Amino acid sequence: MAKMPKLRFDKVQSSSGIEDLALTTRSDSFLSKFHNWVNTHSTVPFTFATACCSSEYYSIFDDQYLEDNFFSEKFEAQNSDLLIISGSINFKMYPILKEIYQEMPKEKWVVVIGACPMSGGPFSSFNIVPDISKDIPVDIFIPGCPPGPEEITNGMKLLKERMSRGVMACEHS
Amino acid sequence: MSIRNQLASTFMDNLIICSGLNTIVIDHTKNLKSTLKNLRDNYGFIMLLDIIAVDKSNNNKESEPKDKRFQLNYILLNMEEHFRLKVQINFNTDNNEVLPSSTDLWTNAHWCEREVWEMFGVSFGEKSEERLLTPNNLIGHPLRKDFELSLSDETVVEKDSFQRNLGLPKYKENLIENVSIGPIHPGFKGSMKMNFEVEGDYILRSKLEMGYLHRGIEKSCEQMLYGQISTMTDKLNFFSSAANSVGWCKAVEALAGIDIPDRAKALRMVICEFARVSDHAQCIASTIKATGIFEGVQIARRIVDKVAKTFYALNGSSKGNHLSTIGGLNFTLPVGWINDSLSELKQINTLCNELSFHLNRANFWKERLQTAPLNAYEAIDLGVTGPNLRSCGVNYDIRKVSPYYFYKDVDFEIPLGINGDSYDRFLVRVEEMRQSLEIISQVLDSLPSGKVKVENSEIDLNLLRFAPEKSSIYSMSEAVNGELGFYIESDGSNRPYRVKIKAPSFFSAQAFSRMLPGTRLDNCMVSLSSMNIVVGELDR
Repeated sequence: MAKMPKLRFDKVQSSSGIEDLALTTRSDSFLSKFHNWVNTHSTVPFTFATACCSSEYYSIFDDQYLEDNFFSEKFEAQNSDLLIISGSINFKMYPILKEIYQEMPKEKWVVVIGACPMSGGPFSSFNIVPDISKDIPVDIFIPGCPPGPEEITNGMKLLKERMSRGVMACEHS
Repeated sequence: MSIRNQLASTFMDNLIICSGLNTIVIDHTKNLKSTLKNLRDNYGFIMLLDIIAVDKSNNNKESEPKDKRFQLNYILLNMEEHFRLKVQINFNTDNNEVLPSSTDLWTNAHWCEREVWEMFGVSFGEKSEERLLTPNNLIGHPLRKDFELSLSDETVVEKDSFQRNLGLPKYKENLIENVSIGPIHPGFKGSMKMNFEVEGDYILRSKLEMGYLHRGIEKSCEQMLYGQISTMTDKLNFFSSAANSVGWCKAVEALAGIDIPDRAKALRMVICEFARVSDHAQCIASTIKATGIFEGVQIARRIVDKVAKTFYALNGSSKGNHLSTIGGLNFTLPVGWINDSLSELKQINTLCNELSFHLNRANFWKERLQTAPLNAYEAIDLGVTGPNLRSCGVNYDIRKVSPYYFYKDVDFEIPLGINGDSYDRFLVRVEEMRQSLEIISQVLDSLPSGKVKVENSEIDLNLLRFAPEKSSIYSMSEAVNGELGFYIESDGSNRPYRVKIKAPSFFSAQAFSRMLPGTRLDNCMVSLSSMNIVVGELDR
């Protein structure tokens, strides 16, 4: 029988610690490096879970923050720096998504899980927003309907790399 | 005298067989209300399953102008005789005719009528003219054949969710607050919004706002090929995709008159029951999570993982997507799968026992779950089906009363609750999981051999050329949350003319919004997750 890969978010995080940061002598570059290091290692995600792909995400990363696992309440979007959009976005939901994106802090990353938000996926009706990236700059897009656990983990790895270099899509929009 | 003969003697020639059901044709809208009332009071059609509207405007273009534009089908159910009846009426709305509302006969007609007004512009009076699924700035009625998308630029003024209660004494007005949860909340299976009017901890009025996940599946079905649609029906109840697409394929096969091989039938039963186990475990996990217990969540999650593993071995999709196709199945059984699943079944059974052992002895769990009771009368009146109905003590399961595939040959029982509260719903779900495991092991023990897909059929099964003859069908199956029905109307081409999905969550949600007043606010998430309202199915 085929085995489901066992993946954890903490395994994805890079092993390099604070000691790597000492390799600089200039204070401004040290500070920016430190800032990136903090961002990489304490990501606060907000899952904009509208539909099916969110359950794929939860099935891998749900017990990442153990103390939050017991409550349905998680962090508010206003206090998080990673927006995970998973599931179809329709015209009734779209204004809310844009509002949430605006209310988030200035430094933020956006991950899209599943084909729906970027292209409508299998749904092509009157009510589906065809492409959210016109209004919301997207960092990582994980395609699939739904994407498998490996794809989601690989996407998250890429995101961590972006974070460690301080690259974010919202700067270039 | 059977109910069919009784009906035949009253309605004479108006009783025909159409779309697989006995159908009463009403010729004028004036007679609609009286006929429906007669059917409910004298013939025992106490449950309204769905109201299906069809826009006939370009069905056959050379038709004479006297043809009526709209068709309305009421699907009614007599629960004692297990008899389904369709009441059909054709009419025009040229001079803004308002149809009689049947909300005083069946309470659940309210949302159905709102949906019909929203999608077709057929009004049932003032109460029905309120948008349910589509955004407020949408112009027109989406499911009409001449609909083109246009959104008005005017910002719609957000109305208060509750009208002011004028009968309230003045000193009380400051004590009443409005609370809303959603549209994004980790406890929801999808996205919707719940508005409450609360006094202290107690809910006075509640209103469910939906449409945040309305994907217009019914509209896009009209542009898609029959074979493509099963990818969309997979996403209705996304925790049990396998059972949904089995329902769709069964409906299309009934429409085209395809008889699938025995092995495919048996395997479809297996994947349906696996999906049921997984979905019930997911529902229990979310209920436990809402109460804040740790242990049970992990056990229920393990059950979900085990089922995911068996699905993963079939075609690489852990949720059971894309398993069935029109005319059979999409996969051949991997070598050793049966042995593996039988050993998984054993482990799942142990986990089920563990789950009820851990939870049933905890007083906290029992007390916490005595919320949102629903009695049998209300449940039938609100059209609730599936485990939620059975937990009220109504013995009704399509697998027993009108068995399809091999459900009549396997040995299983229907668990029933008494009080219809969240605790009973939990007990019924755990027991149904055990019964599903029984069914799976019985079917796997005597799995018929042969092909898993029809090979020499009279109808061309090629995806592009598959086109059933001009007809219509209403076909139902016992999906995880209750009766999942598909009404398909075909005009002879390779795309369906009209598809209506009778989603069980739609009616559970309607019942849920009426169950809450009088309960405490912190119980609402527990009751919501115990009703297992999946928004993908609710909004479609």
